[in-house]
Amino acid sequence: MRVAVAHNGSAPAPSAIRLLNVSKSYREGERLHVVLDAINAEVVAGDTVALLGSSGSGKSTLLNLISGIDQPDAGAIELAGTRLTALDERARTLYRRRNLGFVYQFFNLLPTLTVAENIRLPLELNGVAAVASERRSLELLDAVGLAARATSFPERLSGGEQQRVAIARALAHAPALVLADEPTGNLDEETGEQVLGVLQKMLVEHGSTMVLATHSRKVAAIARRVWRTQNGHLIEESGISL
Amino acid sequence: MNLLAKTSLRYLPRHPWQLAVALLGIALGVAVIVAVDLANSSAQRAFLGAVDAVYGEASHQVVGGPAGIPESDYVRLRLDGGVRASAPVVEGFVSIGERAFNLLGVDPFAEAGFRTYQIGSGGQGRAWLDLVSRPGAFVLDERAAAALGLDVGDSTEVIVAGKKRPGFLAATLAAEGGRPGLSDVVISDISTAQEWLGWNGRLSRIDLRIEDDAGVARIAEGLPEGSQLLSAAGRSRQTLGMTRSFSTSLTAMSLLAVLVGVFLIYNSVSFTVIQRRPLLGVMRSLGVTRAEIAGLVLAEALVLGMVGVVAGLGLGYLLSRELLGLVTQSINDHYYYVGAASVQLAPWSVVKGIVAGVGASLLAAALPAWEATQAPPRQTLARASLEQRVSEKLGLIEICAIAAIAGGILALVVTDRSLVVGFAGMFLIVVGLALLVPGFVALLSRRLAGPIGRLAGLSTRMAIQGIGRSLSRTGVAVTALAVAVAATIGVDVMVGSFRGSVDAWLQRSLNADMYVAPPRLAGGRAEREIDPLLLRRIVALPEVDHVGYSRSVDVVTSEGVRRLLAVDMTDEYRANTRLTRGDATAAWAGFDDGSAVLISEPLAFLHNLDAGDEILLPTARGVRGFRIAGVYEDFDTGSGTVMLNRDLYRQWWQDDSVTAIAVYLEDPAEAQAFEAAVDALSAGRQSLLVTSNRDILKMSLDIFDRTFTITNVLYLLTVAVAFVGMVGAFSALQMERIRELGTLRALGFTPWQVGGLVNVQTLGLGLLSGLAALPLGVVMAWILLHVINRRAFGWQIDMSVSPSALLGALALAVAAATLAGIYPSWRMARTAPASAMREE
Repeated sequence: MRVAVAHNGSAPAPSAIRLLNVSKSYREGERLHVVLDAINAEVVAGDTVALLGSSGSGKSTLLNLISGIDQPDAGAIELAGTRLTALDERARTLYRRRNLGFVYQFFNLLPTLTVAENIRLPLELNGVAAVASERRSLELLDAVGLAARATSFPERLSGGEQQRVAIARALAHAPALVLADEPTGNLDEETGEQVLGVLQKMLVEHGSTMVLATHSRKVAAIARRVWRTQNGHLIEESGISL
Repeated sequence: MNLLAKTSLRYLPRHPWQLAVALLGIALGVAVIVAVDLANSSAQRAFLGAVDAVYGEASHQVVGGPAGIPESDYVRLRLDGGVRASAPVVEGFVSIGERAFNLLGVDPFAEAGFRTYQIGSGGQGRAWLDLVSRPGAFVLDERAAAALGLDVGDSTEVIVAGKKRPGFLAATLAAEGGRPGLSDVVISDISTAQEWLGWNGRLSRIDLRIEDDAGVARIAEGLPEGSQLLSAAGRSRQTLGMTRSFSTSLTAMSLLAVLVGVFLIYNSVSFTVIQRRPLLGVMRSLGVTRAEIAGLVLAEALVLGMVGVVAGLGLGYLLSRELLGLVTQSINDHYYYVGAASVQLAPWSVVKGIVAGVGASLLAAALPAWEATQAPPRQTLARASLEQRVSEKLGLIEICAIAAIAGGILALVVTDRSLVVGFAGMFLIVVGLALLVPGFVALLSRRLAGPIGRLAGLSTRMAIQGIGRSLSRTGVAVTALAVAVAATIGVDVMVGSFRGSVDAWLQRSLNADMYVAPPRLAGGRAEREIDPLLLRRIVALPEVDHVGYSRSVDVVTSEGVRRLLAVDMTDEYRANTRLTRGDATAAWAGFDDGSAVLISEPLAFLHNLDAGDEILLPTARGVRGFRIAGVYEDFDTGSGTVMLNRDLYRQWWQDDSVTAIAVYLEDPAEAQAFEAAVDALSAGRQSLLVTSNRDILKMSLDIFDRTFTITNVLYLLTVAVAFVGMVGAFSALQMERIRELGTLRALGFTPWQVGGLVNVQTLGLGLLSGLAALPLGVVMAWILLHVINRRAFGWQIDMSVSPSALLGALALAVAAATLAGIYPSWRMARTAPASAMREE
């Protein structure tokens, strides 16, 4: 097992994610497809990790397991000292509500809420008062350069704009951990770069940990560490299988 | 407002088709329930008002046989027996102008404490004096008098049993503040009523107010033979009980409409949930709990339910005004004359509507709400996983279906009497059969796609395959609509079979050439006798070959009113009377020698009587048991008929009168000559109706059709709900595919081809709904006929499934499907492929 080491090399930082012998497989007809095979890994708080791998290599599966929206077949997952795999479904949901933020490839904004309301949603779910959540949503929109679009519905926005709103939504409640699944996968190169810039800037501002799944080395470059998913294993780019 | 709530509130208006179908389903379901309930309760109130008006505050009544009670009994009871709280009553039916009335002949000096009358303007003071001193004087409700154009002091003709009697309006009863139920009553002095009805020296009953049980026992003991003491409340209950089966069957019909409504709501709600699964998945990822998602779906259903209920209540009130006329008409035709009634807003009816609407919405949403919370967030994001899960669940659904059907059959078998259990059984069987529909859809689309595709090309194959592969959406829609279409088949087959059975029965029963009887006024009750001298002259007419005499009379027993039908059995009548229980030879032998009677099928079923049992009847010589020799086929709507030999009747009831004759002519072509001869004989003596068997058949079927008009109205509403539901659901299904269809356009499909694809698929869905509805509808009809009607009325009806009922249902489904395809095809033709592909 790896020892948690703060990336600035000073006192050990608290652990944000610990994966302990995590396995996951899917049955495809008669055949069992092993996606993750007893993997162990650790991420310290405030670190950024890119999961690099081809389609179907298990990147999204790992993100789903870390977020608690899917359960491993074996092993345990700890987030900031909380053993996620020991929680029941409701407790996992509430944990996710308080501590996690998501950025999806297809944005997944709620079409029936305005841009500002989409950002307010995680705040309201966490019990933030309406006035405070409104103020916060406008601050975040300003930060992602979309203050003028607060009352627009998502369908009126371009892809890049929608993804910037999704980033603002993911960080609205200052989650300890942000999970991003191919955040630029549905954008052109230039827009993708802009979105990544916004994501990086906001992560720094919020001090959140991030795990980012991508198949692009260029995108993975924004992370401090890079893990590659291959044949059910996680391999650190240094070449050591985790 | 909570942001989660906002997502719902904004979602529904963006999908107006689903919203409209859901609201319509709820509104129509509630409207039918409220309308039937209001009409039933208003009619029952009018019915009770009418009964109350003639029963008054009496606690008990002394009643006699068909000949009534000698007036001397009243004198003896009041003077010798010291029963001061007593009032004599002579009851009958009269008509003035075109309008029928209950006649209540009373002794004004004995009425205090029994009935109160508020005399209207222009009649005070002299009213009661005139009533007792002037022959033919009567009192009438002032609205009825105004409708007849009568003023106080006017003379008029009163028709009693076909005979004209001079009448004089002594006063009017105040319309406002008076006793309800008096609007259809003519009140006269007892002597006037006796003279009009030919009941000199006789009373219909004596009303009593007895405070204690000892008094009841003492009076009962002192009554002469042939009279009996009955509780007035019990008689009111029995009278009301006669209409209970009728109102229950109407309630059943309204529940059928609600069942259809529930399926449509279920279809709409589950569709909106399925359509939003990706969104619900995002919400779950953001930390929205399962309970919150379920709460969201149920809250939506609650709001939909409440909006639908508001619309349904208004619509129901309007509809109830139409239905009430039909209900009171049926009560007038079959049970008791209640005249016209007005809709009274009963809070309980409104509560029932609210509970049904909101309850049905929540019930319909419960399963989709549960389903929405069950899938892990990861899976809710993937449509393919949903279809996979639905396919995997088919086996479980089929097991549930078989369990429900088995439960339903068990419920039907476990008791053959309870109507409520009958309904529960029907509901379970319908739900069970409905659950088999998705499997049927999957199987048929899989099997048909290949062969049809080879014949009609790739796009047709895609359309048919698409039905089975989108089972999460199509399965529910086809099931919901199959139930709706099945309900229309069920009602259609039920009414058609019933009409066919009644028609065949009437054709058999009406075997004489002509029938002669005094005109009936209302409720088919209290027939009056044919003048004996006139009768002898008619029978002696040269056109007459032979005659069957009958005397029909109602007798009051402690278990309700029984109709006695005393007949001189002709060979023709005997040959056409079908015995359903008992040995025919022995039964007819017992009937002929007067040792036994026959009873009608409804009487046998509803009172659990059979051949060999004994039935107690009040005779002129006290209550006596009569052996039942057999049960005969009959479709009466009252509480049952006892048919007996006229000699036996004469012996026990000492009554030789005849109320109708069946005439067999020497030559049937002489019918007109016979009718003219009877008219000439009866002119100025007694008005008699001379009717051919064909006319009676027509009149009877007219009454049948009138009775079932209300069923037809409900049937048409069900058809309307089903039709709109289908158009809405299928259009919504296609509108959801607009992105997929846009892709096909981008791949090179022309607007016509895409339109064809849409139309073939909706047509396929319509056909599947129609096909699935056929067995479901036939089963529903069978249960309605052999369980519900049997338990409600005791009728035994032969089921006949007309091809037109089945083809009509298929046509309904196909027409709705065709209509449903038009808008999406048009929309696709007008939308650029790129824009369609961007559609959410």
